Amino acid sequence: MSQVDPQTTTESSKDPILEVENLQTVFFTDKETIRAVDGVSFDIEPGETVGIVGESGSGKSVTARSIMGLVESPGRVVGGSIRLRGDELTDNTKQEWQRIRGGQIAMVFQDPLTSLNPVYTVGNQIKESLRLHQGLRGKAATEEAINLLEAVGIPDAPRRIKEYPHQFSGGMRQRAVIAVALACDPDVLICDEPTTALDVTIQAQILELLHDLQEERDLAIMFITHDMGVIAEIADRVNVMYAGEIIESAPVDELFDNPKHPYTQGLLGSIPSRNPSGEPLATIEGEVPTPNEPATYCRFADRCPEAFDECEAVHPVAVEVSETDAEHTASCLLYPDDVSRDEAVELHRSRGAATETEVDR
Amino acid sequence: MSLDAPTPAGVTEADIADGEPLVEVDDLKTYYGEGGLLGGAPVKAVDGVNFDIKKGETLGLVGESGCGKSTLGRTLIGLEQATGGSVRYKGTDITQLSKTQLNEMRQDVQMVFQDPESSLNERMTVGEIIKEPLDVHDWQTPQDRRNRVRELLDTVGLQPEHYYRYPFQFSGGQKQRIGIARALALNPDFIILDEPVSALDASVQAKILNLLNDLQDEFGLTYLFIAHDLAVVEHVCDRVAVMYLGNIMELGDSQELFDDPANPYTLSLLSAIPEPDPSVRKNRITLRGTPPSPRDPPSGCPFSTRCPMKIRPEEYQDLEPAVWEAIEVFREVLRERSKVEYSPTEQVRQLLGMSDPYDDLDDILAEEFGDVDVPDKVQQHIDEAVSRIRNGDPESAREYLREEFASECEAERPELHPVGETDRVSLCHRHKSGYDEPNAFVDEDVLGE
Amino acid sequence: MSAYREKFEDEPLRNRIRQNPRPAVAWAAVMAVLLALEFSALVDFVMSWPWASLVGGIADNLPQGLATALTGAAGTIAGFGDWLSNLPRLLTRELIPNQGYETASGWESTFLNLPPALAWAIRVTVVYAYAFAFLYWVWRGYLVFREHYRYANWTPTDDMIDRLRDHRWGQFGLIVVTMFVILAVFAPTLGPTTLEANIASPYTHNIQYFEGGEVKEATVGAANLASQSQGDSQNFGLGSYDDYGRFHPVGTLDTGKDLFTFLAHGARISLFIGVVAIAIGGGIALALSMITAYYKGLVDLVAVLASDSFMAMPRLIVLIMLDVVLANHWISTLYSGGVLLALLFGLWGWPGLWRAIRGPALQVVENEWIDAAESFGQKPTVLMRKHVAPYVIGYLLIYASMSIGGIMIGTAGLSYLGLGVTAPTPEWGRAIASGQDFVTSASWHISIIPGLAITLVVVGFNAMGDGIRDAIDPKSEGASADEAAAAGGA
Repeated sequence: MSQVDPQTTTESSKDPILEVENLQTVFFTDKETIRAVDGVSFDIEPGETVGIVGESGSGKSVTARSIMGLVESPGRVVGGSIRLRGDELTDNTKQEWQRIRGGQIAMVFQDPLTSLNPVYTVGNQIKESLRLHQGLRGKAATEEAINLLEAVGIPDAPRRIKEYPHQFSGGMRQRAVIAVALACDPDVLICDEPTTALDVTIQAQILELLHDLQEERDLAIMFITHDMGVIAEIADRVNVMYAGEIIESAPVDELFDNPKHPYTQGLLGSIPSRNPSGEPLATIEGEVPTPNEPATYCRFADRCPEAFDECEAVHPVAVEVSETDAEHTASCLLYPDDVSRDEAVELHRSRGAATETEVDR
Repeated sequence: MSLDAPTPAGVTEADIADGEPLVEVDDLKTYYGEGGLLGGAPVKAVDGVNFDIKKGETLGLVGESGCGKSTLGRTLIGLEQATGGSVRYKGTDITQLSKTQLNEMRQDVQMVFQDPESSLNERMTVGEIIKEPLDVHDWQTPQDRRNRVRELLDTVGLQPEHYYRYPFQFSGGQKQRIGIARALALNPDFIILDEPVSALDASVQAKILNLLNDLQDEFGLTYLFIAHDLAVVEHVCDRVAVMYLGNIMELGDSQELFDDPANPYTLSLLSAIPEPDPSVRKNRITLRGTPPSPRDPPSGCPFSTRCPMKIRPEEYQDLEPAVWEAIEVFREVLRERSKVEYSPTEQVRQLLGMSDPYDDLDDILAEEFGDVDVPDKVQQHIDEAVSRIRNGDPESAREYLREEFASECEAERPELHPVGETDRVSLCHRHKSGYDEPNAFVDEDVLGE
Repeated sequence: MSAYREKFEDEPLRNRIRQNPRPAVAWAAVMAVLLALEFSALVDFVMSWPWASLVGGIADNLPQGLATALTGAAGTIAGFGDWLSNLPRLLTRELIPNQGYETASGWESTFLNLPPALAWAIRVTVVYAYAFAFLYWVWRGYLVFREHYRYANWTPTDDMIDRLRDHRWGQFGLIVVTMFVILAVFAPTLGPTTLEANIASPYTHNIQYFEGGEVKEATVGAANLASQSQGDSQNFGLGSYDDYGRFHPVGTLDTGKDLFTFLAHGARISLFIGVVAIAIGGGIALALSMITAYYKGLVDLVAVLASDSFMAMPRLIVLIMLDVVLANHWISTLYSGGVLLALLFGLWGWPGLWRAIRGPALQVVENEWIDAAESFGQKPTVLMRKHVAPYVIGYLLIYASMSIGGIMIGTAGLSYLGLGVTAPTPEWGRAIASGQDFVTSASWHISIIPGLAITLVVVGFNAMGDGIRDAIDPKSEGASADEAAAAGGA
């Protein structure tokens, strides 16, 4: 299980293939305005796996859908920019989206049962994608479909091509979904909790498959999950989301060894295998809030064991927190911790004012 | 008991001491769809399990989907009808009870369900939901019942004012607390927890697990904890049973089982868990294929179709793992093909000789054996099988390969052998003398240590 | 703990009202006034039930002394009831009469000496105003309870009702249906004349009219003969007066009888048949759906076979056949065949309704709360009532309200063919039948007006069904977008 060594990548892969900058997606409901994604920024480089981890309500799924242009009324992307190889995606027309989806960015969803259309054979669905993006038809399409099923590790592919989704088991369905997603050789694969609904042995197979595919095709993968174990396994970089914001971002080793944000610490602390057996698990008080106000304060403050007064007044921005050279940022007023608290708060305040944005209806 | 108010009393013919078996399961079988109107093979959800649950302990029951753990839990509480075997609760065989007797027993055995969204009736208030068991068993007066409900709300960490709220107004974790309160209403001794935290987020999960632990200490409860998340089970349970395709593969002390698993399936399962620690590199055992359907379990050991340490016949002991793997996959492909249900048109075409389900046999052979170096003694058997298929008799080809390459893993169902230092058992032929133990086949870091 | 016993004693409703009496008293005061206006009508309705035979029946089985005591007591109560029912009330035709005659100096014996048209319009307005005021006040009562006296601060029904409040189409349907029901309930008061006088026994009633400078009298029957709408030759159309000074809001029939009175009383039987048929069909469908969903297997199979057999029969033809076959049976004399029709529609209506709610019932039973209830030993009947029925009833209401339209059309169709409801009981279909020759002439109103009325009422029922469906199903358009956001925001 070797990883792609960053030093040996080629020149062009140093540039990120997907850049998300200050993305804001808002849902306008009758009762309130839900800022599901409130200023999210991250990059993905080719061949890299970026993990987005968070609990329900953190906004990670909406982030993925925003990148794919799948956010529907009453929600819409209201601010920020998403750039794929430099092309801005937020102003795409329908035609442009059709070209990009599948051809350059593909998505794998959580529930394979509803991702596949039950009335068409699996082969048909792969061929549909092939026809749309590569113009393949007939025998050529069938052969390519068989190749794809074999590439994702489904045995007896020639028979399986003619079968319907309900004849596949859960793990195989997810493989088929990955095959459909890869049909047109995208550069970026977004996986939204693809293994959450699967058993652990099947999950292991799928994770291994994704890893192999990434190596073969130099795929950039954005992997969304709430399972810290899976993230530790598959991600190169991790972004931790809470209430619509990324509150910590670090290479995966660094995050698990040195979590800086109190939320990340709490999250890691509540994992059973990191607690001695029989002892009560460390928990975080309170519930995840619904982000319906502009973030003029730290959204985690009322649950944070380390909160102080300024946390309710100043919105933390991402600051460098690592002791080594790694790119490790956290959005917490406790950092940078090598200056006095007041100076740190002032730093957050001034940086926050510089990049303030308003969401208007 | 810390409650002043009189609490419901359960069935107590014999009061059992801590550590004595409270529930004894003996060769339990639960099959679905037997003798149905349209026939068909029954689904063998639970296929002969034996175990005890001791008073005061938490027994974990793990396995992947389709292994039968949920069905087992439901059979123990009487929601499913056992097809064979017995379940003795405090000495009484509950599979033989009449409806009224079963109802009495139900005061003692309760269940917490998995999905907080669908385990509570949305049209009833929280108070009514928790009160319902008390109403059914006509406990005391209505006012007493309402008071007990409020006590229970407090016990599980909710507010007594929540009596008149509806489930819709609560979060997932709180709903699960309501479900737990409902299970506690009749003061049971034994609670079956069917994946109680699977649908919850990690931080909420932790709170619920802590709550369950506290309740166990406070009320002296015995738990059967069904889950698929092994990390949770390791933390919470005293003993663990690992299930696969309706059978218990390994059963024993939780710490020992997780540190040093003896059964091949347990080894594979533990190896597959992603460790929340990126510095740990696992040399993982990746199982091939998918679990067989419970309608058609393999003969012999249920794990025989996927076991990475399957016993090979004498003459093939030294075969390359890649070659052996190729043979196994080939046999599996043939097995799957024989089970395929063809549409009526396809069947007619086959009868008329217009279509041959094995016309891509060459492709299959190329796929399986293309990359490996097959020794002659194996090749001749493969060729014989292929010629039988080409002659239109795939069944005999399978039979032939079976005779040649199968061992007792496929011939005979293994027994539960004692392993390890404590009271642990494992279902595997390899524990018999003359064979290597399963964990001799794995590298040290397969569990990521 | 004993602390809970004192602190959280659940307060019965009257205590809660006592603590905050103002809203309840205010509501009750207005309600009392409204009830007082029509109190005697209510007593009259209660008095019309067959108490005498009931009391007589009981008295026959009692010993002598008790029997006389009972009949004596019943007699006094009856006398008191009679006195009560003769108290003045608001919605009578005597209070606002519209029958009179015109002299040179204006109209006589109408309300305030207004023209009959105006008087009739006033009376209709008063009736509808009272009815809507009453219904609105009942609704206000619910709101007062919900806000001030209910323990729960939110129930799932609240959401449904809130959704209905924004649903324009559903409210339109509700209004149409309410107006139809009021028309049926208050038919004797709403029509320009009465059923007995104009339609049933016209030759035993007299009217006064002014001709040639003096007041004359004639039988209603004779007046009807002179008021026939016969097409272009002689026609009394919408809003017309006939030669005898009578006002006809929507004209007369070809027999000269007043069409509005005919329609108003026809509404009664249509409503009766529709409601009873739905009650029978719906009751069977509801019970069967819960039983088949809970027990599944063989029960379900038998029910499916039975329902398919019923549905395979052509309904209209079967109804016609049965109607003819049972024409001499005593059941077809009840309410002029209305009861028979209601029974037939109900018995042939259950398969459609059951099929429609079978799906939701099966889905409901899949939920874990059903398992939970079984696991602590809940009895199947109670389980079905508490845990399955509330979910299924909503869907039943939708399909029931949509089916009522079909039943009304079916009834009208049968009456049009001359079967179904027999003369002289009014029925909309017969009006259409009697006017079909005149559709292209000046007397088009005889067929078209009832036709439009049926269409409007059926559309109203369907719209109401639409509204209920959107209120129940949170995933429909008007519903909360929070779910959408939550689903996307996970």
